[in-house]
Amino acid sequence: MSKTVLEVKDLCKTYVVNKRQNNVLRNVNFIVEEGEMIAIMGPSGSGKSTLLYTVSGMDKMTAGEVEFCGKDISKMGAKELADVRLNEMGFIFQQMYMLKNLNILDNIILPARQSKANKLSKAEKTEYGKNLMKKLGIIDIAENDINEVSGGQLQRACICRSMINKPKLIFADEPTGALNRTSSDEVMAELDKINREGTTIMLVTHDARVAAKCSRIMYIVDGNIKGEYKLGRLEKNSDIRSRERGLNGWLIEQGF
Amino acid sequence: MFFEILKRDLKRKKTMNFIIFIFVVMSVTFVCSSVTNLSATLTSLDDYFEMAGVGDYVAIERADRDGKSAKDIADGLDYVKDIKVEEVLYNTDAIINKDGESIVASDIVLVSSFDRRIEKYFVGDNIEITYVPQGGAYLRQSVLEALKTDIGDTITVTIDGTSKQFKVLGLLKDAVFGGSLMSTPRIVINEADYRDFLKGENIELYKGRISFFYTDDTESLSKALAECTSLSFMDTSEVLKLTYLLEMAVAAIMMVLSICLIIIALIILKFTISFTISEEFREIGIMKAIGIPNNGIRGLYLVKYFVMSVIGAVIGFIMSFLFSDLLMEKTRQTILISDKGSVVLSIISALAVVSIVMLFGFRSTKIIKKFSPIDAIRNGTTGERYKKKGILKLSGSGLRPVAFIAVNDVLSGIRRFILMFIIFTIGILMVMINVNIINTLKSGKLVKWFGVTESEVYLTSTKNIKDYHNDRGEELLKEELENIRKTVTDNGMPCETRAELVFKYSVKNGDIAANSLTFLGVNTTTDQYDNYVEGSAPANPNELALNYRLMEKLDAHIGDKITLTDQDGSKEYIISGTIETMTNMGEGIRLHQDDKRNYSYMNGVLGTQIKFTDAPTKAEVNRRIEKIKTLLPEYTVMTADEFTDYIINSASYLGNTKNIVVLVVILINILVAVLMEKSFLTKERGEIAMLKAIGFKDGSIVLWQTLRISLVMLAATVVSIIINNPVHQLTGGAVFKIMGAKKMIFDPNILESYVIYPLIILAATLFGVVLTALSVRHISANEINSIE
Repeated sequence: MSKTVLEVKDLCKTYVVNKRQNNVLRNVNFIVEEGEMIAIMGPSGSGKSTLLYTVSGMDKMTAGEVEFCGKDISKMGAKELADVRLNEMGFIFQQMYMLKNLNILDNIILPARQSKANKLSKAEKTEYGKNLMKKLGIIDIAENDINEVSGGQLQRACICRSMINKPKLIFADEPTGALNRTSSDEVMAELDKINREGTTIMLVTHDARVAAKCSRIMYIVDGNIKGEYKLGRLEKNSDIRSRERGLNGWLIEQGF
Repeated sequence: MFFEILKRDLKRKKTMNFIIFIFVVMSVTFVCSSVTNLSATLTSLDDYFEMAGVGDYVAIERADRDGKSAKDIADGLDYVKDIKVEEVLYNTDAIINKDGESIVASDIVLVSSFDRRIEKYFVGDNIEITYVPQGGAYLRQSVLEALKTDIGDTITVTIDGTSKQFKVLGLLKDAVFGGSLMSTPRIVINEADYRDFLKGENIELYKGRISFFYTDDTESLSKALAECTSLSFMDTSEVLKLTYLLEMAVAAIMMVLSICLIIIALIILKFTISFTISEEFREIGIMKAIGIPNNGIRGLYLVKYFVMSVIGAVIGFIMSFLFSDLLMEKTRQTILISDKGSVVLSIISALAVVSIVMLFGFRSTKIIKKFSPIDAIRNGTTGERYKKKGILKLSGSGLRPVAFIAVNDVLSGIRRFILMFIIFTIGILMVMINVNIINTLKSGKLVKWFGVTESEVYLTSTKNIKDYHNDRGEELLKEELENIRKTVTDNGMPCETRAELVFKYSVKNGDIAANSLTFLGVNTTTDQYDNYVEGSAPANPNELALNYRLMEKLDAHIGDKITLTDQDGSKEYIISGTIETMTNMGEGIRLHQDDKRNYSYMNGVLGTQIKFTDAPTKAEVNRRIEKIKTLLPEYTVMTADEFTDYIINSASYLGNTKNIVVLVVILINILVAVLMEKSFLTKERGEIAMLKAIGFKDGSIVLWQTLRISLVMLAATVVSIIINNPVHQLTGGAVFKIMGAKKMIFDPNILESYVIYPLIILAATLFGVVLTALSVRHISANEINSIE
C-alpha cells in the first residue's frame, strides 16, 4: 500500500491587489501518493504555480491544511519550513537560477553542504553530487560556470541540485518552459528516470506533451481543480504519442 | 511617450533611483561644505591677522629691564613705517583664581586694558569687542579651560598684592596670544580696573610692552632688535601664525577629511551611475527592439540624471551649511573665520556636482550602444557579456556554505567591492592617524622635546619666581630643590630633584642674529637629555647645542662659534651639536650645566622634576604622586603625561577632533555600506529568492550579506594598519617637523588605535548592513519566477 506524501485539504489562497480581493486558490483538495508523477495543468492565471508554491511552503496559505509526510506544514514557522524545503523537498524552476559565482558542481552540492540533516561527510556530498551529474549525463560540465552551459544542461544541473538531499518530493514549476524541444525531452526523460527510482514529482506545465509523461494530471481553472486524468505510469514500451492524444482528447472533452 | 517612460522609470526603479539621488545629495553636501571650509581655512589666519591689525613684526618685552627698548631701537630705522606700543601688565606672579582655589593658568599672565589696545579683539562669530565694562573681563579659550570656567563665572586676578574680581564676559579672540601653542594667557579688562592694579607698590616689576612694527623689511628689523636684551619674544606675524599650529592641525585634519569626502562622494556617484546603467540592459534592449535610437535612450537617462541632480543639489546645498559648521566648530572658537564668498563658492560647487553627474551620466551611457535587443531576450547572458565568475570551489573548501559564498563573492568580484574597500581604508586611516597624533601629543615621552629630562614627577608652582631673579637665585633654587629632595626622600621615596631654567637670549652668528629660548639644567648634566640629533652634548661651559631650525636660521654648523648676549654682555660659544625642541616652534639652545648665567634675566623655571632613584613600578609612582601632593601642597604635581598636556594643551584642543573624525567616518561608512548593500539586494533578488526556495533561512542570507562587507572591512583595517606608518610620517610627521621635532617617534595607543576604534567603526558599519540586509525577509521564495 502506497504512502501519502502530500495531502491538501480545503486550501485557499487570497491576494489583495489594489484593494480588490483575488481568490487564487479556492478550497483545493487532493492527495499525492509516494512514487507518483503528477502534472498540474491549467490556463494562465488559473493558480497552478501558486498551488505549487503554497503546498511547498514557499508561500503562505490563507486557509486550509497541507500535510507533508504526516507533518502539517500549514502550522510551521518560516524556519521550520525552510528546513523542510532544504531536507525533504526538491525544487526545479522555469528560470534556472543558480549562484553566479559558483561553478555547476558547487551549485549542486550547496544545499547538501547547508543541510545538517544530511549526515554524509563533505567529500561524500561532493561525490554524491558528481554521481547525480553522471547519472544525468552532465559530469563534463561540473567545473563550468553557469554561463558556459546550455539551458538544457543547466536545467539538468537544477534537477541534480533538487535531488542532492534525497528529497521525498520534487516540485517543478514549468521545468521545460525555457527549453527547446530536444532539451525539454531530455529533461523530462531525466525526471521520469528519477520518478522510476522512487522520487515523487509534482510539476506544473502548459505542455500536454510534458504532462503526457506523468501518471496523473490535475486540471485547475480559477483556483479550483476541475478534473483529474489518470494515465498511469509511463512504461518503457508506452506510446507517448498515444498518451498525449488521450490527454488532449480528455482536455477537449472537458472543455478545457 | 518620452516623459511617460521617464515617469515610469522613476516610479518603478525607486530603489536605484533613490540611491543615485542620495549620493547626489551627499556629494553636494560634502563638496560644498568642504570647498568653503578649505577656502576659509587657507585664508583664515591671514584674514584674521589683517582684521586684528597685527603689525608685520611683534615684540614683547619687560619694562623693568635696563637698556634700550625695542621702540627706541626701531625708531630711527627708515624701513620701519610705524610703531605702536601697548602697555600691559606682564609677570609670572600674576595669578588668576576661581572659587577661592588657586589655579595656575600658566607661568606668565598678561593683563591688558581695553582702552590701551593696539590690536582689535573679537568675540563669538566675528564680532569686534567695542567695550569692556568695569568688573568684566574677556579670556581666551585655553584659560577658560584651564580654570574650568564658563562665561558668566567670576574669577579673581591678583597682581602685586592687589586682588580684583571679574565676571567672565566671553571668549576672547586675540590674534597675537590666541594660538594654542602660545602659553601666555591674556585677560582684557576695563581701564579703571587696570588703573587699580597700577597702584601696587612694586607694579613697575610687572609692566611690559607689546610693540607692533609695520615694515616691509622684517629681516633687518629682526637683526636690529637682536641687541634688545629686554625682549621676551620677538618675531614676525608669520611666525606668530605658527602658534596656531594645533588649530591649523585641526583645520588640516578637517581639510583632509573634506578632500576624502569629496573623493568618496564622486567615486560612489560614478560607481552608482555605471552600475545602474549596466543593470538596465533589459530595458535598453527592449527600447532598441521597439525602434528607439541610441541617442533617444541616452537622452532619457540624461534627463533623469539632470532632474535628480538638480533637486539633489538644492537639498545638498542647504545641508552643507550645517555640515560645514560641524566640521569647523572647534577652529571657529579661536580663529576668526570669514564667511565671505562662502555662498557663492557653495553654489559653484553644487553646479560643479551637477555637471559632474551629467558628465558621469554621459560617459556611462556610452555603453547603451553596446546593448542589443538580444540582451533583453537572453537575460543578459549572451556570450559577449560572459565573464569568468567564481574563483574558489565549495567542493574543495572546508568553510560553511554561507561563509564560502561570502568569501568567494568578494574574491570573485573584487571590482564590485573595491569601492567600499577604498572608502573604508581611507576612513580607518583618518581615524588611526588622528588618534595617534593626539596620543603622541598627550604622551609623556614628548617631554624631551620641551627641553627637560625624563622624570617620573613634574612640579609647577605659584611660588614667586621673582625670588630667584637676583644674585642669590642659583643658591636659593638649589636650596629649594634640596628641600624637595629631602622631604620626598625622608618619606620613603629616594629621589633626585632637577629643574630646567629658561632664558631668552639674543644669539648671533656673524651678522645673522636671532632670539631664542635657552635652557640651563640645574642638578642635571647635558648628556642626560635625549634630544640630540647630531654632534654631541655640550661638554664644557663654552659649548652649546642648538635646535636644527635655529641652526638653519643662523646658517651655523657644528663647530662654529656663536655669541649669546644678555644685559651683562656677550659670551662666545662653540656649537657642539644640534637638538630637537618643540618650544616656540623650534627655538632652543642647550647650555652646559656649569655655565654661569645671571638668574636676574631668567624667564622662568620649566618644571621642577623628581626622578626616583629606586626604579619604582608605575603603580608605585602613581601612589607616590598622591603622597607628594600632600607633602608639597604649594606645588601642582603632575605625571609626565599631564606635564606634556599642561605645556601643549593638546588633549582638550584635539580631543574633540577625534570624536568628530570618528563620527564622520562612522556616518560615511554606514551610508556607503547601507547604500551598497541596498544595491546588492536589488541585483541579487533572484539569487536570494532561489536560496530561500531551496531552504536557506533568512538568517543565513543576512549572514552571507553581512559577512561580505565584514571581510571588506577587515581587509581595509589590515591594510590601514600596514600602511599606517608611512602615511603617518607623511602627514603627522610633517606637523611635528614644523614644531621643531625632526625625528618624531609616534606613541600610538595600540589598543585604542588598532583595536578599539576599528572595532567601533566595524560594529557601527555592520549594524547598518544588518539592518539593511534584514529586508531579505521581504523577498519571497515564490518570487523566483517573476524576477527579471
